[in-house]
Amino acid sequence: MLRTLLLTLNSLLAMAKFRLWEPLLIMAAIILANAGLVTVLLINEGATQGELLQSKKGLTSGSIIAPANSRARFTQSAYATLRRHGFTQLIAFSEREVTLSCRGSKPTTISLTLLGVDTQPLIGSAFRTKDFEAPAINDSAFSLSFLSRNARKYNEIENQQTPARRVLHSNSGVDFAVNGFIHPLTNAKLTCHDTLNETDNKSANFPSWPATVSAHVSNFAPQNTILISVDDFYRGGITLNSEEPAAPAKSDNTRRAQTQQKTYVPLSGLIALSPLSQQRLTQIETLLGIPVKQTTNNTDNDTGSLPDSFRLNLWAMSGLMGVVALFIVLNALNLMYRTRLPNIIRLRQLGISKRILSGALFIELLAYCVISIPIGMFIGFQAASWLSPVINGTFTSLFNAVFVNPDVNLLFTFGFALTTTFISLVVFSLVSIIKLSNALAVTPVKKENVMGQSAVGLISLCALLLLFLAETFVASTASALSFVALLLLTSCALVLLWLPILSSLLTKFVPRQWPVFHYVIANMHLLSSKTRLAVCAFFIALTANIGMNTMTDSFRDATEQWLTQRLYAPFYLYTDAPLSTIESLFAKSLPPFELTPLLKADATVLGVNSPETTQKVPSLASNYVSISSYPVHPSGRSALVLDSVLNNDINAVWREFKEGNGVFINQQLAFALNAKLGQVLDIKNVRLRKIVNSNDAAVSTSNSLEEITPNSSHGSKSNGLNSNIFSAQPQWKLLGIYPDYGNLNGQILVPLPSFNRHHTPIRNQLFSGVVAIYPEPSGETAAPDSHRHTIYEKDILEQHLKNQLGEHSEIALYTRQALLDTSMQTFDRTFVLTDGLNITTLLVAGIAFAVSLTVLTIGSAAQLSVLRALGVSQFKVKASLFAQYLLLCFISALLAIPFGVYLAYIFIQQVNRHAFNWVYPLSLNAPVILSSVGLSLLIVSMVLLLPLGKLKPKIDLRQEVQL
Amino acid sequence: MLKIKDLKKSFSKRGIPLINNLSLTVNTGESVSIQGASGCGKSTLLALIAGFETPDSGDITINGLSITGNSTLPLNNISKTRNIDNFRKQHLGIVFQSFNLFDCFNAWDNIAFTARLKGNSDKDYQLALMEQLGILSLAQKPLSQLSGGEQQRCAIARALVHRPSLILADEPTGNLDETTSETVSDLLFKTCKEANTSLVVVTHSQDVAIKADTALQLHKGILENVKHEKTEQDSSSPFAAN
Repeated sequence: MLRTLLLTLNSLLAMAKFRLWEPLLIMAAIILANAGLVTVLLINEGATQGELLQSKKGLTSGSIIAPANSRARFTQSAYATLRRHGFTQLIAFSEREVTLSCRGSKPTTISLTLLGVDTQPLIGSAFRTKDFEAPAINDSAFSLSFLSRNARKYNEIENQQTPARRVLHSNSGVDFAVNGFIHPLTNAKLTCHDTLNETDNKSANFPSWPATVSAHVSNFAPQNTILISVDDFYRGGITLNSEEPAAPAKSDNTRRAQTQQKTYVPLSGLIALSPLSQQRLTQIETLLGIPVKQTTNNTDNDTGSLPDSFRLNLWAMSGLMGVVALFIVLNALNLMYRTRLPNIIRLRQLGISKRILSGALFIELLAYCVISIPIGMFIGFQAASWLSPVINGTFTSLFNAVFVNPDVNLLFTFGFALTTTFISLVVFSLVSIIKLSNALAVTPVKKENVMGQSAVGLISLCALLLLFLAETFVASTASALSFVALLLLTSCALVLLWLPILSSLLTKFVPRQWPVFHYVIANMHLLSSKTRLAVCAFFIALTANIGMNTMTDSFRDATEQWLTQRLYAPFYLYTDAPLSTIESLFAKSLPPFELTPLLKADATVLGVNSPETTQKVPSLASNYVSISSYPVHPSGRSALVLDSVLNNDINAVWREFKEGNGVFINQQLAFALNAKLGQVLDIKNVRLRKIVNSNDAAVSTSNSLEEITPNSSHGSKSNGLNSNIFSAQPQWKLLGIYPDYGNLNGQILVPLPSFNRHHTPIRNQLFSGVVAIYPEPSGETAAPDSHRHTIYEKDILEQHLKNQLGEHSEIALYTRQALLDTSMQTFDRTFVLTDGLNITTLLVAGIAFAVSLTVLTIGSAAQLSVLRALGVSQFKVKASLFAQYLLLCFISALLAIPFGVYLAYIFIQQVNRHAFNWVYPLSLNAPVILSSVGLSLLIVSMVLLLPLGKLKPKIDLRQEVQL
Repeated sequence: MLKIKDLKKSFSKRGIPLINNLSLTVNTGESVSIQGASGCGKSTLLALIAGFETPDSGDITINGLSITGNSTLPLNNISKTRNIDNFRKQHLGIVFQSFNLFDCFNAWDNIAFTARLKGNSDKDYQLALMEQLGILSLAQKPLSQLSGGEQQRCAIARALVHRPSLILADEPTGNLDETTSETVSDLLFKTCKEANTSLVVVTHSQDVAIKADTALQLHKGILENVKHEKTEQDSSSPFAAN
């Protein structure tokens, strides 16, 4: 038996060798499918690992203890005293700013906080039991001790292979190196790919910082910081004590560095894992003899989280590509069996059993898998690596999430790919083997089963009705995506039913005087049954492409329209300066302008109250919403975009809003709460967004919350603040729902005058860092006209602001158009990944078509030969073939348009609704749809031209035409 | 009508040429049959006449036009591929052993194809031809419903419908049973004669060969005359009286 098997296998391999391109085609299909599979696996794994990184608690997720008096400082001895008295969970930290720039790229700089922490307590068991983990290496204790290790030569660090790392160079000339951590989101936001260097013009206060930091990407570090050991922090001329250096020098370089000018940087504070009780705080005050304050870092909402729905979308798209790739493999297998059929029949006639034959075929397939899968995996790894910056940009800009280059188990991935591919191939080859068995059996000639037009029409009608019925049952993202799959499969089945009918109808209308064209159309009718698989692949790819493009275009139109209306002011200032500073600056030196700041607070929504019942929040992540101010001046009113308003009376609604009798909520919140207009939001725990204004500074003691609400604790803080945040408590009645594209969270618009207008520290805390600037409407201004005209220039105004605010405040002034352009550019970048996958899917479908063409060309070689014998030129033969396939594609494309539009509608009204909680109008843009069709036909044409170009139908009088 | 002069064709440089200084003349309306052992070059000769293959030397002229491009009169040369394709479309009809009809067409459209290709579609002539060949009732039938003999009769009609000067038939009865073969070959010779079309038939069948005006045998690259004695069956053929 083994001998027979080997003999059969030998025969099969001889067949493969004789027609080498057949196994090569199958291997190419397997490589393509696996490359796609591995790419998607890696992208999803990268997204998951990025999300995991963000979901872990960071170093500063607890609270920070600092002297209450801003002039007082903790000393090293004070810290030692506390530790001696049992406060071992406190971690001393020091911080200072460093400005870095990317080597060799455009001269953009980034300011980060160099954060030195005492690593000794981190190794203690108290921290290891509190979910702290440094993801660079799984063992947290090891990771933390790794951080505390002192200098290493840069070259040694360079050679270390860790999943993600960034090197940051000092400009101090000191060449010792330290290890550190950087937050993944910070790492993602750094535009520089490799090494960042300290800028030359760093302020004189901090002449140098510890040499080269090899920063490992970890959520352990707070955002926008470089986390290093405090030992390393106090090196290179930085001292904790102005009298004596903190750390002993260990090398000549270090010693040389310490001979430089010493800079005194005190301890900034103490990090506590969890908020300390008032009793413990009092103990500290007693021990140190100075009042201390505790600030709790409420950063729950800062870290973006990749929603499951997005991952579902990614899987859906990859599934789509996978299906199309499988079509290719199936096509290739069909091709191989078709050409081998006579030889296989001979093998069977010679007495080789079906089992042996099947076994040999499977072994042959396994060999192809083993050769092709590693190549496919390699291409997949390369593709994922090539795509990672794009994906990273998308994740960061859209979801405030992180994508990391994933750390994967190669053996597992290979095993997974091998198993998946081989099982698919076995299933497919079984289909072919069944066909093979049928070919060996004597069967009566089957009567052609032709379904009438009316029957097809009736089936189509029923299928569409069932589809519409099924749509009403969509209630979640998963069911919406399942419906998308159902829609694609149903439409595919309908196309297979209609294609022969349409091609048959077309044949009747083609003038007989054009015999070659008539042949093309008539033959296409026959081809429609032979090219089912390829047509399906092409149809699915094109329908998905039209659907995605129409959805994206509708989203783009809606966003652009929404932004155009919302951005009412000619200038927008982004700054980290306090609002009071900005307001006084404009009041003093820029009188021709009026300011509208954007104030923001956080709150928790418990539900909505209607006159009858109180609904609980069904599904809203952490029940968190942001409360934003909205101006009530006429420009604000004209800029307001509302989807629906109470009683459809915009004037009455605006009046109510202006008077603080109600609020507007975004679509996301309305959908999440299933809220209706007129209902009242049940809002609790209205609080300031963060300790500090800027999103960037995760550790800072510069702005004290206690100054606003003295003696408030974490639990009672919100209630105390609630009364301070608003000067007049707004009514939470729902007056209108507005679109808020791109925001994954719920948002409430409250009239600007409702916010506290008098308490400067609170206003500064509420200030989001954005101010709308527009010319004062009245002519009452002290500025002369010439000055007014000059100051309206963006660059002049920006320079003026920079001069006035000094170097300590970051400002960026955008014109309305610039902001609009930037937003739309960001929007376009966001969909680069989707576009890429779309085109890849189309390309894969095109290849499936080319494979089909190759199969059919072999089958129709005799007919082509007859055409040539009858005097049809070679060019006309090729053109006729090309026209046949392109016409098939064209008819499929025509049928794909209505289904693609329906798919876009489903994407917008169901998938977006459930995944992102927003919907927008479907805008049908003919050029967009036509460009999708055109692009797909172009891709297919280009792919078809390859085999057609090589086709040379040989005229052979003995050629047999297979009927 | 068809003149072949000193034709030479070899597929190997050292071996004996398959066609070796072959000459042949077929007049208008005349039929010639060519027999020979397998691999002697019969089909190659047909392929050379049809312009599918290029001879090493010698000349083939049909209706005064040289398809080899070796004519002493340059104006008569039509050696370029495109011109040969066009020439074939205008002047030649081909009957294949395995019929080679288009499965996407019914019988009528298959037969009409060559006439449409030439641009001289004549419905009445096609009807008459089909009636003569006994396939008029099959006009609208798909090919899958036709027998081998019916398909070959369609193929003969297709070869004649555009009124070619010369018909080349390569084993036209090779795939048919004896009775059908007899009927089809009789029809082929009869319709060609009535259409005053020259016919060159390559066949293994002696029964078919003897129906030609001239029966030849290809042997060692040259044509030799063969004398056949007509059998009784031939005279008793239903078409013999015609």
